Amino acid sequence: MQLLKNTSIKRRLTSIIMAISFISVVLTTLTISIIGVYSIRNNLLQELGVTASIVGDRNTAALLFNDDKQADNNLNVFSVNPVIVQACLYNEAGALFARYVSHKYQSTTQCPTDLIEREIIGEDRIMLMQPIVKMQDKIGSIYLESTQEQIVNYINRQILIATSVTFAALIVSYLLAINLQKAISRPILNLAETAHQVSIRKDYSIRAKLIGDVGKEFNNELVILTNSFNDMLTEIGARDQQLKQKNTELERAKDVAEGANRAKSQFLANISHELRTPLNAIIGFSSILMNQLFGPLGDQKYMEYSKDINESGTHLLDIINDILDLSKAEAGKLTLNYEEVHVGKAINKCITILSERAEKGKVTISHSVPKMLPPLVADRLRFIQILLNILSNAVKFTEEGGKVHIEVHTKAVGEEITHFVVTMQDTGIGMTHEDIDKAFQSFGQVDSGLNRKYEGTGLGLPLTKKLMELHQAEISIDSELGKGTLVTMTFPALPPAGVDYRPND
Amino acid sequence: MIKRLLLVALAACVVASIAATQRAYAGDNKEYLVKAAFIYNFVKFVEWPDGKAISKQSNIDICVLGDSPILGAGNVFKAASTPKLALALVQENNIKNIAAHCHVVFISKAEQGRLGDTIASLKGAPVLTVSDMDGFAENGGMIGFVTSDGKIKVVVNTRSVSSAGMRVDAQLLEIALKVIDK
Repeated sequence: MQLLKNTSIKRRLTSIIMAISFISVVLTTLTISIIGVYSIRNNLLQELGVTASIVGDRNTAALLFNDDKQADNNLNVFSVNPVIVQACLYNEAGALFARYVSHKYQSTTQCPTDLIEREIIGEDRIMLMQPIVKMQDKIGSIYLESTQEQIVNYINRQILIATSVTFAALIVSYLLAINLQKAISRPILNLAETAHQVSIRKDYSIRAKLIGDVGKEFNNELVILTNSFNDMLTEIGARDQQLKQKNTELERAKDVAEGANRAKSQFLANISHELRTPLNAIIGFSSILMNQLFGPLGDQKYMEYSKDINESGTHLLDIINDILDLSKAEAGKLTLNYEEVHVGKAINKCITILSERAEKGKVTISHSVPKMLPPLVADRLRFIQILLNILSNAVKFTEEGGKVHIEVHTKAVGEEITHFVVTMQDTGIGMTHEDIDKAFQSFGQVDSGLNRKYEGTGLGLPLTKKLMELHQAEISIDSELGKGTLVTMTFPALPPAGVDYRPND
Repeated sequence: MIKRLLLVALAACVVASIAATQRAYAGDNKEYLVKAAFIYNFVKFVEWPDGKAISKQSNIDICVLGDSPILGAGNVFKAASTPKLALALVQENNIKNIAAHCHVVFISKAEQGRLGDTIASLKGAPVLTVSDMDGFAENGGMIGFVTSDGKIKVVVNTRSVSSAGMRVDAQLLEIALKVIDK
């Protein structure tokens, strides 16, 4: 069956039918031949027995009256029978009395000396020893030996007949098989063709034709199969239609949603830009007032108010910048400028920026960066922005006397460094599992009750996440309420293939 | 069964002795043993009419007319006898008795002078006449023993046999040295 694995169903059916008929014909002729050989052998043996009886009987007088010449004469009848190889006649005393040998076998045979009654079918001879009895007295023995020429001839003839019958049977069964296999293969091939047409034309309205007398062969599995196949096509067609309709609806909904989102981003970008201009004036002029560039302000209160104005303006500017970045990122307009970044320097810069706030909150920032660290390829400003965001959060949510520790290590495959891992561990207030998810959503600042104390834009983490995604980096937060937070950031050492970057920091 | 085997063995000895005596006549005794064996074998190749058919007999008398050395070969028949069929070699000089109870009569050479009368007296009687006298078959006897090339042979007169209502098997005629039909 292995042979037929990759052939068509037509070929398979034809081959199977032919194989079966071939085997049947061969087995039948073989059986008939074997039975034939045995029956011929038995017939030969029987014939030989009868011949021996007749010839033995014919020689009783010769034996009893000791007339060996007459016996010789009698045995000579075998000269007309080419099958008899030799005939031996023994007298009552067991002595050889007369003998006939076919001239063909003159030199190769001799009479046996053992007179035990027997019938032997040998490889090429049939041998028979039989007593001669006259009126209940055993008066001698006769031995006949004949060839099996008849059997050999029969076998040869049988082989010839078997070969021609097998050949004829194969031709007939081939012709029949070619016609009969259609009953099975045509509906299947028709189904296969229909399935093929459906799959290339994506047309579910095509139907497989019913072949044969449907009414009569109602129980025919192939008819059932074809009907089921057609039903299935109807079902698929209906579902396909539904799916298409749903898809169109979804497409439309998606377009609407995307349009809305774009409009929102555009609006935010525009409004942020418009807001920045007056804000710069507010910050600039409040800074002039705060620094008393044009003489003293007089009352101390003016100093405090102008400082408040300046701080609030700066904070507002931060928010607006974050909104701008986030909307840019969401609109897909944020691009990275890859260059080699010295990770240690970047971390130091972040610590410097936040040192004032840390001192104020009595939070200690420590770090351990390996000395011989190779540069990381990233957008330097965005990288610092990411670190700054996370670090400022850590400082912000760590109570007085707390600690923040930054650590850097690399992951490598063999000699080649594949990733930079930056971790920041704080001893802050921590968050719950749900809070972590919420923290990454825009304006999803945790625990709004704390807003006053831990004021922020609420955009830091979502923006950080966006920037990380742009770097194909990963961020994970591991935290427990009241027990601090561990943030792990994993950056790929190199930008995606095909992105150019500026060497050297 | 054992008895029968013994008989067969004895008969075998007889035939073997026939073979031995064929070439050289060691003496009258052996010659007559052969002739006795031949007579026993004649029984197998001769058919008697209904009243004397072998199949209906329980005993067969082989009679000897006149004095002959064959009388010393009685054992040949004793040995060939079976419980169903007893063979006996008896001297019988009364022709009427011969016709009545004998199946075979061996006529001794000494009877040659009276052969014509003897044959005439037995005419029509189903008795196989056998003799080793010269010209026996030629003179109306049924089976005569002759010697040819140092071998004992037989001459058969078929007419004598059939006129007594008997038949001789063709095989016996085949091995006969001469077959007479007159």
